Amino acid sequence: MRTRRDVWKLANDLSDKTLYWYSVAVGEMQTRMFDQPLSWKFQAAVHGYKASLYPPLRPGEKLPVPGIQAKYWNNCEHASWFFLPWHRIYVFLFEQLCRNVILAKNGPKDWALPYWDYSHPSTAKQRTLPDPFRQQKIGGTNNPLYTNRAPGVNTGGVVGTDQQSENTTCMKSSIFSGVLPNGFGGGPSTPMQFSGYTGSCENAPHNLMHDAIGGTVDWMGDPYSAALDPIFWLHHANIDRLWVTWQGAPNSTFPSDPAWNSQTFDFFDPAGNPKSYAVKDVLQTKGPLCDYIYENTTNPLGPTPVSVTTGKPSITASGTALEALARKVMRKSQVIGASTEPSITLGSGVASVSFPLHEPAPIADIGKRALSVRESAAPSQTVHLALENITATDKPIYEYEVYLSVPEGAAPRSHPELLAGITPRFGLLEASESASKHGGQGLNLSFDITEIVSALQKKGEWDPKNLRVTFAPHDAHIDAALASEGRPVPARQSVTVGRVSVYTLPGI
Amino acid sequence: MRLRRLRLWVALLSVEYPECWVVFLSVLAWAILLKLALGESAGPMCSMHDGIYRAPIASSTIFDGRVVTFCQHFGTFIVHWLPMLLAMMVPPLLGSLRLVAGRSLWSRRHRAMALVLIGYVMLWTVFGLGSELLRQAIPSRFERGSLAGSFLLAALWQLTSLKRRHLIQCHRDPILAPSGWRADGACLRYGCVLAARCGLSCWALMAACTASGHAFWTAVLITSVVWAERFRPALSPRYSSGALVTGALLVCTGYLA
Repeated sequence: MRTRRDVWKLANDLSDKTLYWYSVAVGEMQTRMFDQPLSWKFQAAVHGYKASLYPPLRPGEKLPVPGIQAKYWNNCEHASWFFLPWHRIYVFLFEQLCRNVILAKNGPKDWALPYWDYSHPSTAKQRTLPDPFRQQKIGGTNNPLYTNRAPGVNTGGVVGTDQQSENTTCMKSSIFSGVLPNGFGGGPSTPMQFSGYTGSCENAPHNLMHDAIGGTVDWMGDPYSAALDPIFWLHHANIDRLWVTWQGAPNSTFPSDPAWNSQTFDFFDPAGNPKSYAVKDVLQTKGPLCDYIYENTTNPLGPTPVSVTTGKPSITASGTALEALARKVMRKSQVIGASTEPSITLGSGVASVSFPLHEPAPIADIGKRALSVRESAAPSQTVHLALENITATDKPIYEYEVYLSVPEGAAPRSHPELLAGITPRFGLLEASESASKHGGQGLNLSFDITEIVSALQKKGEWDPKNLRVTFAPHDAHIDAALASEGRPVPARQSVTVGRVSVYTLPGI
Repeated sequence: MRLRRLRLWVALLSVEYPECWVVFLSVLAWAILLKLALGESAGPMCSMHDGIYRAPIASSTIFDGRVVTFCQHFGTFIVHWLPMLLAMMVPPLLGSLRLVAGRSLWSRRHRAMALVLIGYVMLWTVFGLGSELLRQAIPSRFERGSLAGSFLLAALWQLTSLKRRHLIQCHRDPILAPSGWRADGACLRYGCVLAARCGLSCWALMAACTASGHAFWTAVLITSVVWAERFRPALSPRYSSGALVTGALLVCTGYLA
């Protein structure tokens, strides 16, 4: 059993054997030709490929035949309940591939891919990119771990904002899969590259850190090129670690639906042979397929169990019972208000939308009465803000901070306590394209706003009949930073939100 | 006491499965299809030979010594077409209907689903009329050949990437206004959009069904293919294609209408 370690607990240079051998493996793969399944570019293209984003072909280099491209490229699963398992398979096979190269060069037998825990609360340094990824040249030769990244990332600046890197919100999701709210792992879907229902872990920190590292123009910011950046794999090892951490919570569970756990995906195995892998093979990192553990899987919320409905410490039960309970709760979600405009267009300024709220239908106790269950406590209720069918027609776009009930005339940023969440840039354009392997309906995000509503109610500032939602661009600073580096600054494009709505979920 | 309990269970079913009445509708449609297949004629203006519906609908004709008008033909067509549509194509819609219910205000859930269903059935009925007219243009001596051919065409279509692409697009989610005429219009429109997308994905299957004259066992075979790709998306399209080739063989050997 190998251990994936925190990259910031390793020596911060290539004297560390884990990072040294990682750079050796990456360097070796980068020398291989594009049409070889075990080459760097082929592996990256499995996640996403767009010719205009890739380095030009070298002399004698050619692309694989179209049949291979169609079957094995552009297969990354996003905005779907397959996001986590697909990426676990992908990163594990890549790690095996690195390991084969390292063993062939007499490297350490226990080598494992490290992870980058940018959410770690200990120091701000943890959120900077480790040195071995930032040096363009080492000993006069090109560093295989270096690429262009967002302004400040390669100069040792803190990567991303607190909101982009935080990992506690997703840990509060107590269901794995759902549709508004979308749960920890995303909404049910058929396999497709961008389905539409982004899980809480996928949005923050995954999507938002892609945006923070890749900015508006560099590889990590675009799903079609992200895996070309060697930090991609450490980022995804961290996301995988968060899944393991979430799995460790007493109330966590998985869908039992065979449409999820029997689904298979096509890859080339580390020996270069075509092979299919099933979701059910990777539900644990300790077998049947995988063989690794993480150095640290401490839950940032602490060891206390989290309630299925309220996000508060509460019940414990078996996984099957919890899954049934979670599904039951999801079936009782109801819309209590939604925007009435056909759509809302977001640009470079602050935009708001207001809409009426309705009293929720009194359905919470129907089940209890039918089953003759005695009410043991006042039913709890969660409230969720949903942004439905968010689309874009071109990039780059802004990330948007989403606020609730900001007082008239006030600057949204002066009310951080009203921030519900941030919309991503990563994958939004792809989710909006109806061609190819995409759903084409845009992204659907959900933010748990129970605590904000509760705080507003306590202060007497919650209007139960009307809600105003305000959008403010989050990462406008990147443009000025790009300009200061003398790099081209592409004009930002608009984003359209199909509908803003509020859902409630009853307690049990 | 029992009645109260029953009412609570119905309420619970309606809360947790708002789409359940659509399932009942589909079950009823299967019962009607079965009844028609067992030879109990749907009306005086149609005949059943080998389980195949044979009423011409293109114009007024003399049938059993009586003048049968276009309206009567149309009525007969609807009697066959609607149960077939509700039986075969509506169950795969349950997820979309549930989503529409979930995105509607509580008081509007059933109305929203009904409007989607109406839009869906309206557009499919137009498709059905078109394909029925086409079928009747084919001379009867070519019927078996055209049926086997339509099965083979459907088997090929199942394997194309275009089919898979249309299948992915089939269940894209709608943007629904919360209330008022905009909400009603959005639901009707979504029903039509769903029908158009499903039509693009399943046209070959429905063509095979129409070519058989809506014969019961053909409907069963086609339904199993449609449902498999909806409810078991992980299943390779080779299986459904294989089932359709088998269907073509059964037609050629005279075991399937």
